[in-house]
Amino acid sequence: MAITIPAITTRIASMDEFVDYVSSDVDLNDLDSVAAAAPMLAALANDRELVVRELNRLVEAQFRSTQLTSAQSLYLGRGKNFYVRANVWPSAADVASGRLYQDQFSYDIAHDHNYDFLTVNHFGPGYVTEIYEYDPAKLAGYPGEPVALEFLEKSLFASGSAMLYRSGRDVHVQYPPEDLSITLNLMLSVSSTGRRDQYYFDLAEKKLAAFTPEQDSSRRVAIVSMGGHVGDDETRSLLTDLSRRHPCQRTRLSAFEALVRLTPADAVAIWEQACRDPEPLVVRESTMKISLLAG
Amino acid sequence: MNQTLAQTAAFAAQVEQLFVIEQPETFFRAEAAFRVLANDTFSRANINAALRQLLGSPLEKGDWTANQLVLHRGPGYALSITLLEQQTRFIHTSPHYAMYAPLGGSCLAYELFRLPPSYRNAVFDPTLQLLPSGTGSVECGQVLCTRPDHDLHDFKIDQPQLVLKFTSSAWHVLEWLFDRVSLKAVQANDAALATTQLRVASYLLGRLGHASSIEPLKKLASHRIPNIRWAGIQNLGRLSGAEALEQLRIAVNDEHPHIQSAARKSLAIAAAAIPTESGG
Repeated sequence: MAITIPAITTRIASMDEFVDYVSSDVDLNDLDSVAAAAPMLAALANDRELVVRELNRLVEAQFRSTQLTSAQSLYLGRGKNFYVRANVWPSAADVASGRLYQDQFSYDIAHDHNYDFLTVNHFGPGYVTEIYEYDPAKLAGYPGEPVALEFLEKSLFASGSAMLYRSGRDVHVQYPPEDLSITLNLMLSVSSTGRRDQYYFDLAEKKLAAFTPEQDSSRRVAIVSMGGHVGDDETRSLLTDLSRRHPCQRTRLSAFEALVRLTPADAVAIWEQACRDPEPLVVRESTMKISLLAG
Repeated sequence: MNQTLAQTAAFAAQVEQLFVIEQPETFFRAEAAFRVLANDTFSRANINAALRQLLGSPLEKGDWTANQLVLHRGPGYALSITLLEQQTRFIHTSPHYAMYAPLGGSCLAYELFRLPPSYRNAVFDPTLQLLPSGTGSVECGQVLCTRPDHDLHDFKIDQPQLVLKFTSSAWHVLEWLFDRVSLKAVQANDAALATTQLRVASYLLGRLGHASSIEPLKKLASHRIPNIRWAGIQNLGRLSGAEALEQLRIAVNDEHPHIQSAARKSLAIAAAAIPTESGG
């Protein structure tokens, strides 16, 4: 399950100290090592002016220099293959008042992450979260796919502990806190992150609901799909190479789809080639397409 | 420099010569420059370049979103190839000046609506209703020009449609959403992410309550965008009653009627809350 780690400290760490610490003492590919950074992240969270300083600066700059494209997150600092952000969790009352729009905040949506991250509470009472777990080895990764989601706990994520969320395994849904809360996240961006998918889940039906739209693989899918609309011989060659070589299964599947769009007469041959893909997601979709074409 | 980069650079140079950001109608002076690019060949070359990048560096990201390949971002404008994938739930106003060129052999069909005469973008009014004004379509090779304060184009997306899109930055402050059946206004969102970020920042600074945020909030209280202005005034009140009262007194003459009215109400509430000497 998502790992809960006691993180109580009176120490106050600056962002520079924290970045130096993670850069020199944490192996980002070893979750035990990442978990050991919890007290230091709590020490960073003890800097009560950390978020205020950054917000004052961003207001001064009119958010022109911000590196995050969301109103919920605030970029705070970075090192090699990691960055630190603050996440904002307004109360249900503040959302209901109309001061903030609910759809700008990640509430009531069960989702996993395609990166590992460590989080602590920085301000306020903390949000309530429900945590589930699934076995990624048993997931092909298509919308509508049944998922054996195991409920683990529902808890208040308050100060005093850290949580380590594991990429492609832990699923959570957050509910608005009683009052504004702010968390700090140590976000890991190791080489496998861009290859993995992030999903929304339907908890009632225990199904994979959809891919999140702004993840890297969704962007690649869009670019590859465009090739199917205006492609030429060179596009076909590039798409063929992508369908065979790209490390992301959704990108390969999208390349097959774009090839079919460009040369519908070759659809069966293209989908038969796709059936030889190593990933069940691609094989399943291809088999369905062949059945449809035969039917 | 390869040919597509050279074409993009030439386009950018012309736009920056012709388009004066403060005079949005000058955006359309760049129509001829856009028409030069409004063909499959230019877009195909750019898409092929992106596909080559995906092969060479599989996990590297270009300036891509979930439906957009951004070719160039200049001061106050952007050029992109956009995949319109599905009909939106609501009919949206567009805060941008824009040009669209359909690609890939299919035409871009739309329904046309007129905004009601009393429509003022910055003043959301849920009683307003769109007026149907016919349909239209743009063939490949043609260009559709749209203005934020004129007719509203609601694209019909029966199947994914690729377009070359040239847009100004948001000129209007709000994006209105209209119900598809009643055609009534149901919501208005910030037209730009930075507006939402500034409003959320304002809310946070108010809640965090640090004295160092008084000056930033005062700046927001005089911001040109009404939503940001009001959020600045409201949240300043959490840090300094005196500063908030001063801003409220200014706001009773604000050009935005909702801010005027809210400022008057807030001042009346504040006046009622101050105990008189005799009342103890």
